[in-house]
Amino acid sequence: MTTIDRKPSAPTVTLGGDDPNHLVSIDSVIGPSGQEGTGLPTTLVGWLTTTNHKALGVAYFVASLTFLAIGGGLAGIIRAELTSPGQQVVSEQVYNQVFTIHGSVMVFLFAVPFGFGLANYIMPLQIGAPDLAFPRLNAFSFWLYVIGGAVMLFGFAADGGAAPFGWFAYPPLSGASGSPGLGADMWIVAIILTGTSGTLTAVNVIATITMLRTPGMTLFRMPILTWNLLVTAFMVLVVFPVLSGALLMLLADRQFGTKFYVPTDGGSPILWQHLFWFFGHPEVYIVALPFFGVVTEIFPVFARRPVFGYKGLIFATLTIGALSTSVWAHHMFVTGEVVVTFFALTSSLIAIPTGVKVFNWMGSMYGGAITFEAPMKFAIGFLVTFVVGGVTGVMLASPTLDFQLSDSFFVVAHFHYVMGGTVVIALFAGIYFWWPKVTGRMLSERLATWHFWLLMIGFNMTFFFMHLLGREGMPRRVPDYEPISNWELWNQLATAGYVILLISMVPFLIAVVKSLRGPANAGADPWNAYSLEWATTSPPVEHNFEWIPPIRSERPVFDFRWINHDDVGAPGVAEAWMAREGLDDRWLPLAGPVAADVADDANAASSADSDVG
Amino acid sequence: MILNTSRIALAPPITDQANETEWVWDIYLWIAIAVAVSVALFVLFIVVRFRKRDDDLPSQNQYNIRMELLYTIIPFLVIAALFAITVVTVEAIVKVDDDPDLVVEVIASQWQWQFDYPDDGVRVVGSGEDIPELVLPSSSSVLFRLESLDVVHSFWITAFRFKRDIIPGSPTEFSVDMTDTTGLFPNAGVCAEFCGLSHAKMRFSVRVLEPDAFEAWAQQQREAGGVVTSGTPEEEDV
Repeated sequence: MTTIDRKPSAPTVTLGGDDPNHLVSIDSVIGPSGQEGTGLPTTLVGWLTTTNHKALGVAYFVASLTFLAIGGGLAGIIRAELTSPGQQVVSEQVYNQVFTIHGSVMVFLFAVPFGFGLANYIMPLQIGAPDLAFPRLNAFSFWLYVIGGAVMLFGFAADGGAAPFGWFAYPPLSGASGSPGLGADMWIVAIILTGTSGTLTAVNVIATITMLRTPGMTLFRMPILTWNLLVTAFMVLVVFPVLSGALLMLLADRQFGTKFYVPTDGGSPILWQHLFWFFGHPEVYIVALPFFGVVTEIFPVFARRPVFGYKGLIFATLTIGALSTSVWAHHMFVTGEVVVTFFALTSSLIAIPTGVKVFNWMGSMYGGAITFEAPMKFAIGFLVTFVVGGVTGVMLASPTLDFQLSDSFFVVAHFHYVMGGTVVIALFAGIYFWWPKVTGRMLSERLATWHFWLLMIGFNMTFFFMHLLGREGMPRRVPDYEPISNWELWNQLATAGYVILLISMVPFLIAVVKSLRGPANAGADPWNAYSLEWATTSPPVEHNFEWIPPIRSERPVFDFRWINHDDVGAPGVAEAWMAREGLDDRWLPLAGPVAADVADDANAASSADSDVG
Repeated sequence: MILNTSRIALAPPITDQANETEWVWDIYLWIAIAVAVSVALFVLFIVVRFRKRDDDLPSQNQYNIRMELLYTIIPFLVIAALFAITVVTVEAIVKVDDDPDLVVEVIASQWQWQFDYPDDGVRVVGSGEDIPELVLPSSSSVLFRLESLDVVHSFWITAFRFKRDIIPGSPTEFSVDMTDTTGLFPNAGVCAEFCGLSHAKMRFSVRVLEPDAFEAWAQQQREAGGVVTSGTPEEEDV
């Protein structure tokens, strides 16, 4: 099993079809999963006090999906109101609060924190670390985020309701006289809290990735998800403090009589727009990059290929990170106060590294042997959807067109395609992919297929027609619109799409319940995947690894599976594995049957030596 | 050309600048559709052609420098061409005319519009539920000076294919060259930047008259006191 029995390469290497024993399965090396306990808390106090990265990872997933449900529910109110012209469902006052909190919840409490959940749960496993670098800081970040989320939502209970000024809160409307209610202050405090949480998490992620990689895990052997989380963390570190500073000034304007953004007293409303979008555009990539990472883990595994253009993909990600801080004013083309050509150039340029990623994903599939398990279905759905959002992004990067399209439903369609759709579709790709790792159980493929097609149809129906509405002049953030026949039809289709989206969650929830009631028999590596998280039990043992394969590429688990074949995995893996033989098990992160084997071999070798001696 | 656009969803362009935007829109749109459709078709091809058929391990080749260069450079060229088109057109659109035929001062406030014609001594204001009507001469150059009294608003006329945010404390201006199109555009103008409670109701109509008719209208209003507070008469023929 773990002895090396190298075979000369056959002309065609098979996927173990004719000789399955010649491929090494992780299960046969580390033994059955679920024997050692999971390290996850079992009591409420345990959950409240845990510093375990996997427990906090699960907590992030559950919390952010809860916020997705809340944000999605608020979207339902918006869709219900827009189903026909005139005002039927809610008052203007409530409508304004609803879309403000919908956007804020989705961006600050759902999308970004889900990425942090990946950074918590998956990233340490991918680099062979036992936990994040600062576990208590990590717990502190999580609770700041949850408290921040609660503060924002309790704004609805405040006198005058929640913040009513849109998620980008332009002063003077968001100032003391524009929005006098306490809900607005709660919104500001909530975002400072979640922003601080994000900043601390970014510090933690950077420290972990730079310091806690297992030996052999060089930077260019890190999985793409880990790379993307690293770049994301740097972007968070650059822009979240700017947002917090801008928000503190806004809070001071409202509460302490300062005049940073008050035009009548020499303040500058446009200053807020610069500060907010300096945060706000990198924020789009802060949301998206972890999910780009998710699908980059999935495409190669289910195509049985390596990531195509691995290094080029990393440089593309770094380029996106760098360019993202120079594009912010494309949100301000219509103010007439920015140099439109400069920001048009940088914004257009960012399409190139993004396009490179799309080609990398297609190249990873090209020439492969593709199967369509649930994660792959969602990843492909993501790819197609993302391209639609990408091309409308190039249109909006042109001020010529943006003068018409800005602040219309076209923009709403665009960013729901790039942020909403791709994030949600890629998120489910990730959930289906890592669910066996986190729970030790599989999700139903049949229900996943229902989930996938309903989600794709519902999503596209909801958001596609918004392009047409925006092009024809429907402004965003209105509860009422002109009773023009097409507008009414398109809005009704969008609302119908929303209902389908909602229904698409039913098979998913059924699959979750069924899976959690079923036996934990997924095994360590149900997908024959590549990165280190699949080299441990499902769910992983308390400190993640009792054994780590040699790392000679970004696919250590793949290399180890093919260790008996020349010229398939990275060179040097077999040699590295053989070099471990004869070493005392104190020097090896080994346990279980392999450790026993190796220890026996070592004993035998040493006794042979002594015999000779 | 006389238009009644009450049943047409997308108002036709009524300025030279809007006509510029239209052809840029067409180019961008067709390239966008071409890119999205070819990616979708290529993905479809991949999933059909390269689905798992046997147990052979597919090629593990990870790099193809020529291909990688190709898919970096070709998008770069497309982007460069689109950027060139943008630069050329945007300069013409944001250029402010020093010697316009007509100046209109737009004053935005929560949640109403006011249009002043200082040369003609006419003022148009919306009142209550009645939205005001912006009257413009065809075949003329018009300079808009915009100012906000409270929060950020945005002056958007779909038929201009243009909007301009109006930030309190910083008045702004832009010019258009009206084409020879005349007609009534009910609800053609909206506030595009969210401005509070009744943002959705902050609309106006646009009426484009022949220059002579415009002069007659201005004179008539001036003689009647110079302040127009009426809404748009929906069914009146122009």
